[in-house]
Amino acid sequence: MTAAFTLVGLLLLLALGVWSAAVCDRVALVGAGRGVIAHPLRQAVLLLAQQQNETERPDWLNWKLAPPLYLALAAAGLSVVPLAPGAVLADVDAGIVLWGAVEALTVVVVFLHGWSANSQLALIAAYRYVAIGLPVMLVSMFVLIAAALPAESLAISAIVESQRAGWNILGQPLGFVLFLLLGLSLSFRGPFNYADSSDVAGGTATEISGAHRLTWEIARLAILVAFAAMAAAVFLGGYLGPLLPGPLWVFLKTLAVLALMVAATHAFVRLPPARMLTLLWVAGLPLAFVHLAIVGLEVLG
Amino acid sequence: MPPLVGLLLMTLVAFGAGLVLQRFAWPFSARTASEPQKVPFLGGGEPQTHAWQRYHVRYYPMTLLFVAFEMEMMFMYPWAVVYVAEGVMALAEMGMFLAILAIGIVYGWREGAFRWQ
Amino acid sequence: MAVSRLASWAVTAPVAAFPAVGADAADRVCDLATDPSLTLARSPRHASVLLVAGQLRDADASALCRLHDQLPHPRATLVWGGGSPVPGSASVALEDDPRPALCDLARGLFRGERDSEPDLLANEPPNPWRGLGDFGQGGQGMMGGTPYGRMMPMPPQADLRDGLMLDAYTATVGPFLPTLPPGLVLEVTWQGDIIQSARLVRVPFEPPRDAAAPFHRALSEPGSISVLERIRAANHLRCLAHVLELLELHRLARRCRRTAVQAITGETIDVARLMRAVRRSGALAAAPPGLGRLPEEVAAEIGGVARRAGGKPVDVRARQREYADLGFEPITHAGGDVRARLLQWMEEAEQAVKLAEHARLRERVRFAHAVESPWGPLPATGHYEPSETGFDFTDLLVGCEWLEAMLVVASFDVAALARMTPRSPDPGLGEP
Repeated sequence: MTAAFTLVGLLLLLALGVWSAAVCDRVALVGAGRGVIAHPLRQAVLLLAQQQNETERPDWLNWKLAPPLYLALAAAGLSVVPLAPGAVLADVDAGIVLWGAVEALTVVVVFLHGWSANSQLALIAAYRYVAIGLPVMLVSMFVLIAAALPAESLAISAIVESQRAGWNILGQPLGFVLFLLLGLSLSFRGPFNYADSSDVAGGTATEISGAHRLTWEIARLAILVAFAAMAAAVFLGGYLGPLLPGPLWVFLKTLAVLALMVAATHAFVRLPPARMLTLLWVAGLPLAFVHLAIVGLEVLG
Repeated sequence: MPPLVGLLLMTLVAFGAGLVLQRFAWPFSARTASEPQKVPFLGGGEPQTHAWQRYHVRYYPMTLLFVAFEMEMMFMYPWAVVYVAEGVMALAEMGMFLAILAIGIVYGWREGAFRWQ
Repeated sequence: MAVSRLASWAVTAPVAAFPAVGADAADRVCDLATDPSLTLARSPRHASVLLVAGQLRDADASALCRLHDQLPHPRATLVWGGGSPVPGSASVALEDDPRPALCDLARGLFRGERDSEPDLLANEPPNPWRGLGDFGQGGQGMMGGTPYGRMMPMPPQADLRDGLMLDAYTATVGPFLPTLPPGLVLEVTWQGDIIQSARLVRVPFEPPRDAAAPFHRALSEPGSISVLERIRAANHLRCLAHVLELLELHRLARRCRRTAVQAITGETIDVARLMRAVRRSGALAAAPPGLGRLPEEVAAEIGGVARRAGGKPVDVRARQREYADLGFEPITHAGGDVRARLLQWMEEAEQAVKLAEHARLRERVRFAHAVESPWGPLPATGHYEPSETGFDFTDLLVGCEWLEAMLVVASFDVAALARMTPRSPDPGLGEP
């Protein structure tokens, strides 16, 4: 019974999260106007009414499967997030490892989507996304390991419970900031938009239209929601909070992280891949090491 | 419910929803693309050949480095669970491990492993 | 019908148009991008209306046909100024606002009142797949097969960039690639995402005539400094907006374009604040030092922003008494690379707005021999000729990664690009 409620709750969180992220994106770009709440729905209907394009000899299987797979990965990542004490859909002992697998497979799916189109601009985007996606993933895994230290467990529910005395963001602020990079990279937005960016005319999405594009864009927002829920659980105490019921706290904290991500999207420049690569390996990863060491000392001390 | 069943259920629901959404056919979405429509977009320009090629994979050195660090991650998962119990000893051990890897990064940087070409 | 009712409710969403920009229309399209009720798509696949803005060259006709057919159904074309190359398309004059017509077209399409435009090209594959297997993996031996479907196994010229022999991919890009300046057509050979070679096929369109006209007039009769400087500021802000778009700073790019519109209409604007926001975003860090460095003799001939970004305070305005009275002094930056040119645009835009505000409408200026336009000294013939140095800007792109190459191109104005072309135009070079 609890499982059924949790499933519905997570799906609701996903749907509402995608909607709010789309609204936030619109507001951030052009400001709040009349009809901004319904804007995502209108765009969706228009895309549904549009023809789906194909390219010359695409790799059909990957071309058609990449968007639903991307969406499925977002859902898989979200399923390890607890909504309330005991209300976890997939309470695996190694929740962090599962999330790490979702991260890795996301890189694969985005690459295949760009590759399958058989189009040069999409190809450029797909290849360079992998080069940037890999080091970001490493940084995020070090950050998650650091968050698991005080919990003495790799399960997300245990990490949430370990924050009863104080949220992880207070003890590990650097970890939270480094983890945000992952969210930008998984949904390739703003400073980490190497896959669907303007310089390659939409990148892996250059050649797609209609419902295909709608599914892809929804999946992009869905993985952002999954990430935000994960960040809320690991750093903002998940369902912990006064007065309001647990699931509502999860929802509010997820929304807060989403808003932060949308703000970060428009705040920072997207560097050329070569510069970003050096920055990630030479500054990002050592910072993650330092962060792990600091947290290690904190936990012992 | 066993955790893996929950995971599978959630994943399948999303995958199915994505497939249905993508197959959604209104009058125009049902139309198949014509040959000139399928030409890859190059701003009006024309490709001489298909795009698939023996592409220079710039991420190749990244994947090698990634494998090295990901293996290290395998050791870190159990390490994180017993860290508090083991105490300073565990910290020192992992510190040594990470220090060696960090030297590897510095070496790679010096050798130009992170350059684009 | 529930479906059409849903679609007519939805069609109040922003119209997605893909702009095919021709002569004298770049600024107008740039201003259009500030309207929230309109989305200028990055790819024709994301648009329902093809907006053909300004007059196109005859040489671009086949590219326009290809572009037109790449839009998904339902689609329509709006011709905004210029002749109608697409049968059955709607049209408005270049002086008129195209937005009502765009909305009408989109509404008609999605309500089913207007038929979707058919293809212009014949329904046959331009690049037939001649590989033997499903993925072109067939062929007889390493050198077997045809170049279609699969690359020739060896690059045409040995370029041992990484000590590896890899495939080269050649294609023409433009004239409607939003990343490149309107009208520019390049033949690019890639190796992966690195540009192995690039060749100019057609030069970009010259600066829009209505923006250049006041500068031409200032040679024969006194012109208002305020008007001239506001045009300069708007031009620099639009150039900057394009670079910011390349760097995924869409919100800032929008602000720049809006400020450009306000600069022209004469509103009070705070450019300094905008530039602080650009600096804070880290946009200047995106260009590696030395990227797109221009040789000094080339910069000397091209003049204008490119020259001053190379550290030489050369500016016709410095010799004019009217400007001296306003306390004008040329701004310079060292380096002559992409970063210096960006900084130059940013600071000159700020300076231009300050000059315009100090001058108000009273101060007028008549230039004696030459005039300093936003695109450097104006050409005597009225057209930008290739420079004496014979420098070709495509040489700067060789060895660059795609985004870096696009930054190099975007860091020049169209006049500078037109001047940095080979002196003896190749037979393939179209009519400018």
